Amino acid sequence: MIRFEAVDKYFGDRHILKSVDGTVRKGEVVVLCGPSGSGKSTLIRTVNRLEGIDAGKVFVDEKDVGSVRDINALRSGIGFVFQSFGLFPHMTALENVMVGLRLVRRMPPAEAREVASAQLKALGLADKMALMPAALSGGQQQRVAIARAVSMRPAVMLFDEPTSALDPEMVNEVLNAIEQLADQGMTIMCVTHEMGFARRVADRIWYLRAGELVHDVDTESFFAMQAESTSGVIQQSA
Amino acid sequence: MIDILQTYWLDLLIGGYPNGPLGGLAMTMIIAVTSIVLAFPLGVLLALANLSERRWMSRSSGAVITFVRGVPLLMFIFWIYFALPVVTGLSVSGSVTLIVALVIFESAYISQIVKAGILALPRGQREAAESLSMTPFQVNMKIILPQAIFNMTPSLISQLSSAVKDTSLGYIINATEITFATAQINSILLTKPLEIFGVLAIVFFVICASLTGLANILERRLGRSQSIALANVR
Amino acid sequence: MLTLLTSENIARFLFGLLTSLQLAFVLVVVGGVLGVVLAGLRSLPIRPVQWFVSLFVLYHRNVPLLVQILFWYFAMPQLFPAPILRFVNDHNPEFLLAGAALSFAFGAYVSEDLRSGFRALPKVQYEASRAIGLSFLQSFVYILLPQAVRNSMPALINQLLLFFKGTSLASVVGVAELTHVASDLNSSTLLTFETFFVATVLYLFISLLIMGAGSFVSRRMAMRT
Repeated sequence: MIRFEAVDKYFGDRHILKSVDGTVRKGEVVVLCGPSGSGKSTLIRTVNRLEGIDAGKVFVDEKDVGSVRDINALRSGIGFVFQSFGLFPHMTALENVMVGLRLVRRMPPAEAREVASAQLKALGLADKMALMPAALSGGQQQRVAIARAVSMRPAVMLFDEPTSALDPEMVNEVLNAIEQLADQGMTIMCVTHEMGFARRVADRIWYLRAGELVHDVDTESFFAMQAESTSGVIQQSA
Repeated sequence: MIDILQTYWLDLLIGGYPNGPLGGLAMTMIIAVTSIVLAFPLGVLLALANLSERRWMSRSSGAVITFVRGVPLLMFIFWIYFALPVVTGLSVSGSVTLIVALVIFESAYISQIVKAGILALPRGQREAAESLSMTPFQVNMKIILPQAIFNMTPSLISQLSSAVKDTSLGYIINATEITFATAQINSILLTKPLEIFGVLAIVFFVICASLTGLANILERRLGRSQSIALANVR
Repeated sequence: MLTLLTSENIARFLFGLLTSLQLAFVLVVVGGVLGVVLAGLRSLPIRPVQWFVSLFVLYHRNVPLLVQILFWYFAMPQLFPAPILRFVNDHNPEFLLAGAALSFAFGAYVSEDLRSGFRALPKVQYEASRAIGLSFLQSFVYILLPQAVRNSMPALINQLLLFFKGTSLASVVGVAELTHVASDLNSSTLLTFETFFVATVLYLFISLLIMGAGSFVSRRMAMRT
């Protein structure tokens, strides 16, 4: 579904991504982890061209992201959830979810409203639909952001540290929502430090260090490897 | 445009002097600087009154400031133009009228600037001075105002730039500043308004942009806390 | 005062005020649209376009409004092609030309205020709007612009106040707005104090309304944050 071929990226002098190769198959859940600054966020941001690349190619559903003609159409098929939620503060939760449906999918208002409210209900936000983002907790805002992305019926969902900006008590409600999506067969790439979640939900773990994809293994092997290693490279959270 | 400049540059620069009153750009700058210089103490007093703890002082100064902010400068100019001769019994030139009107007008805006400058100072300054048993007058004169004004210099330079632009209203009451001088030349030439008014626009552009640029450089050096306070005051 | 306030004169004053308000309306609408377009153009990564907008803004901020009006009235018509010149001359040319000057200047100031409004937006707003597939234009119009306008509302209302007062300068080229009416009546009745008093009161009334709207908006914004 998503394929990285020898992807290189520089920020000025800094070599952020070093010839990264990898494939995410349809329906797979891949968790990206690694130390800060290892390029994990940058890597998933290349999938919908929020970041460009300097060498190599990125493919989504066999389409070359770098040379696709209609970038907006491509992006509408890729769901992206930001660390800081990115909700539009001048719109209600419902309107936030509807805006893509109305403007990109060109749904008539009634249909858009139905799809949007159903999506919000599925994420447990039925009573929050008419509220402005400022009136919602962080966990609720992030779930609205997820609803907004999912309602577009994307082929893949990308999560960039979805719980890093949340207070601890709200982390689980968001992780559960992501797990729900995984159970429904969604292709997911998720950058996160929540290793308990990764262990439970991920099919594969990609471990990046200093721009290199050091490990690309299935979850079980990864945690077995980690348990054996004495350098304590990765923190584990239950 | 070049030949117009070559023929009329002296008129544009100093008006009819010495065969008439001083005019042109020289007069523009004299009017602007004089107005700001005279408006400044007035503005400081207004700011202090506005910040005073005595209700009647802050209220009445606030009313004056609101009044000046709510009425067009042109109205002020007309008021002074017609009222001044009645009040003083003298016939006053357009330039003097303009200066008086500008002094009143600019003092309100300067008071806002000074007020913001004072409010941007840490509270500790006033309290420290008072704890040294300085009288309120001394506190203001020696501690508060010098710092506030130093901090507000960029905004004051911006205000000078505004004052230069405001002098253009002298055109309406025959004050011999550069706009008026330009209009006179235009009425002589009649066929080249584009060049004539183009020159006028360029002159103002150069002067005001330079002043604003100077203000920006100073502001960057002095830090940005003052402009935030000013925005809050306004 | 009573000698001045004949029903005829009152009507004149009110018509003058109406003309001032009409000018204000025109400059807000035309200048507002112009300001939005300029702000949008400035955000495009095309250098010459950015320079053009910068120059436009610098000109209108550093040249006095009166000089701009005089320029439009005396100089600009030389540049108009014949059909436009004819149209302008047939349809209240003073109002149109003064209105054009005011609108362009207002547009320049609005674009600067919006620019600050845009700069205050967190980067994620740009990214999130494009990430769901909105085009640059859709993102600008539906997501970014409404937020930028909200952010710059106090500045925009202050601009409105300044330009409402600026409409008084249109009297210089003969537009029959409030200042012109007052000036005329002064010449005909010689009741200087009374005529200017009425005009001042009318200006103050509208200005206070605008200032009130300004504090209302500022207070609401402070509440939100």
